[in-house]
Amino acid sequence: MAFNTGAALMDALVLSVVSNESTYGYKITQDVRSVMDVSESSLYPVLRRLQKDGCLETYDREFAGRNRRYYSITEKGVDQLEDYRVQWREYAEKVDRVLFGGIDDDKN
Amino acid sequence: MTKTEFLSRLAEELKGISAEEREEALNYYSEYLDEAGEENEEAAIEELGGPEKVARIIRANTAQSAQGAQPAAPKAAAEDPFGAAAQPVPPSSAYAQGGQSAQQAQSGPAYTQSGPDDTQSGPAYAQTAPGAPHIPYEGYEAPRRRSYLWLWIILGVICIPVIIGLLGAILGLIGGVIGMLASLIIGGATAAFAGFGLIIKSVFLFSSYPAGALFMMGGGFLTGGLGVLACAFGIWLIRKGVPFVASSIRSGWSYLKGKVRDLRWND
Repeated sequence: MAFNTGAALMDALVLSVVSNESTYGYKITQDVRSVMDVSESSLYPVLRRLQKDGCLETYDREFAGRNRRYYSITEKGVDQLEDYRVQWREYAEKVDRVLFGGIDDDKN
Repeated sequence: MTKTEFLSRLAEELKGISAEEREEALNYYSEYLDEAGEENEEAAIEELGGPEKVARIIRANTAQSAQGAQPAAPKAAAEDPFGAAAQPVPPSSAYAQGGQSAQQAQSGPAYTQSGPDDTQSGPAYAQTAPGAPHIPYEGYEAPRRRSYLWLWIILGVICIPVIIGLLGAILGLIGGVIGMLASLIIGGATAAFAGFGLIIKSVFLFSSYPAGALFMMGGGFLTGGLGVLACAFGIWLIRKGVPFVASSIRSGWSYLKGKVRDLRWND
């Protein structure tokens, strides 16, 4: 994708994926990568940081004879995600206005 | 590369960070590769970009939070969460496919990079939001400097008795030198006056006791001469000594400052 995307969008996407259902690192990576062209190795630090910031928490479940660490969203994470959603909406609208209707705004 | 190989090389690469962080990361990637499945292991490792790259990204990020830059980043991000407005975009061909690499080179590699060729991915998303300092990959040197500061403070506290003693010694030395100079000049002046008085007195005594008067005159010259000498020596010492001491202190101080600066940069 030609558009550069920032850390906050990454955080927002991770929080959103986890807010749907508690899930594990590999799955989160795949889900985020389905919309954002990021490297697989850049997801771990994001998860770790969100966890440290108190936006995500983890619990372990056994799956197929091994451990699987699930990430779930905290209350703080929900607030943060809501904030991101509002800001993304504003941002996307502004971009849309310029990209698709900017001439109306500027030159009329 | 097998999973075991990958994990052992990753552990090797992560030696610089805390045991807890290392453990977390190794567990995560061990589980991650389990999820990918045995048959996809090789491909998954390939996609991760090799243990060096994985380790570099982890290190860059643990350093970032340890450095205290972390609180600044989300704040900046909150002002401009999606960072795009702040991207220093080259004026032309910014969004043209061909211009992408140039753009990334300027704004620091972003998330959008995922190819195995991006060897410089460093702090992949230390994206430059306004006000957020650009954190270079080597940024994790900084915490060490802070711990040195603590060391210095502790050292200072331990050394307080020694420092007080040293200060006392220096004060005593200064007092001694001043006393010596004062006694040289005042004593010398007094002796000179006394000698002068003896000479004058001996002149009046000359007629009645010539021998005694001569002796007295000799003593007068001796005392007066020594007094003038001592006085002159004291004044000479002050005139030569004060500028010398002042310049010594100045150069000693700047030398010390230089040493301290060197120490800081060499940490």
